[in-house]
Amino acid sequence: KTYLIPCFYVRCSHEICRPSCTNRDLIVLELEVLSKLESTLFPDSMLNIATHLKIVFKTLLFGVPVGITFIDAVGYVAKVQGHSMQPVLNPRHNSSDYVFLNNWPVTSNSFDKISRGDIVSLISPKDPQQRLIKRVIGLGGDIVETHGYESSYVRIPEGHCWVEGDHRGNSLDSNSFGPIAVGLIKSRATCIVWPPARWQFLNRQVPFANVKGNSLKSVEDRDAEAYGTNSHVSKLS
Amino acid sequence: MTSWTRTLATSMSNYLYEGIRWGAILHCILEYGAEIAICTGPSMEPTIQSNDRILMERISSHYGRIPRNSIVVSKSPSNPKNSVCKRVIAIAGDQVLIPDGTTTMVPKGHVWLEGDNFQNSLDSRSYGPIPIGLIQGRAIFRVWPPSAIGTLPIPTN
Repeated sequence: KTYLIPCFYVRCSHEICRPSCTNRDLIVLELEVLSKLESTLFPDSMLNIATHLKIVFKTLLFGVPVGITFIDAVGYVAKVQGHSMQPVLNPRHNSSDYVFLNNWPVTSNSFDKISRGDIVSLISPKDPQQRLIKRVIGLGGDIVETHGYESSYVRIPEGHCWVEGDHRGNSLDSNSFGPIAVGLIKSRATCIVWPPARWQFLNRQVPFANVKGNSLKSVEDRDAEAYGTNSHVSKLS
Repeated sequence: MTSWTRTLATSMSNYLYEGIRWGAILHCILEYGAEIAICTGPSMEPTIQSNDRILMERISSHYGRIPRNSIVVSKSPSNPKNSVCKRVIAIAGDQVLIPDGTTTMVPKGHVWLEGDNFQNSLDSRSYGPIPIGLIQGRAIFRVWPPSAIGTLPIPTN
């Protein structure tokens, strides 16, 4: 493999360094990465199988972390199970929708991009090994009207949100466990990717108008949050 | 394209390629293995002083198994962009004493956090038990300052 490195990284007594080399020159360096490791693990006396194993080993060593990093940074496709988001997701009993979960809002640490009406994937507050897929109904400072919760109206604390499944009464959501910390939200479901007949973008909408008001923010701040713009919303901290 | 430009292009793409591969390995180590975090603030004194750096392992939090008395770093429940460093006093199912004198049970999937510096710590006594899903890692030992490298003690009270 060929690399260009600045001349001053190479001691001038080395044979590849030209006699008139100055600090601003770039010289060509031929380098075989992992060559020492390879020659010890797979000496020349072994069969062709060793060459194939070497390729597999190198591919896994670098391929798996790149794949994992891509999934963590960008997103992945997940199967939706259950009926709590009917009719938007899984409307029929015999087939499951597969959605693309976008991790970018969490990767870029811009949690303000999560807006009311988004369908999100979150870590269940009851079981950290389980993910739930629900819709964000209200954000910190909002007063929401509940459906089956311990009190009819709840003011959502700062840094928390209210999530509900679209299928009222058939959903484990904030109506059971109350407001959840925004830090539990891991990704936003942007579109349905399978089956092809159900290809569509998932829109930002609140099916039931149960956000009664916002006790903290001005009208401009509320609009900025609802449309997910990049304008800085200063929250009470 | 001259030979020089071709070498330059090959070299740049080699650097980029290696950078992406090693960057991905680094990301996997930090996300699923261990990471160094800097703790600021007085809430964990005297165990952790402000500006100490600790090594935290990220395996327990991915499995949801946090033992009692471990020091954890978790996302703040009032601001998801901030992190807090506290000790786990009680896990799900335990009874804890709350400021008004009564006891409450820590719900399933949650833990109760308190800072070692009781008087000067904003923790579960104010914001309640936190879900394990917010926990980012468990501190195993201190790596900075060099004079204090070593394990983090458990207070006797």
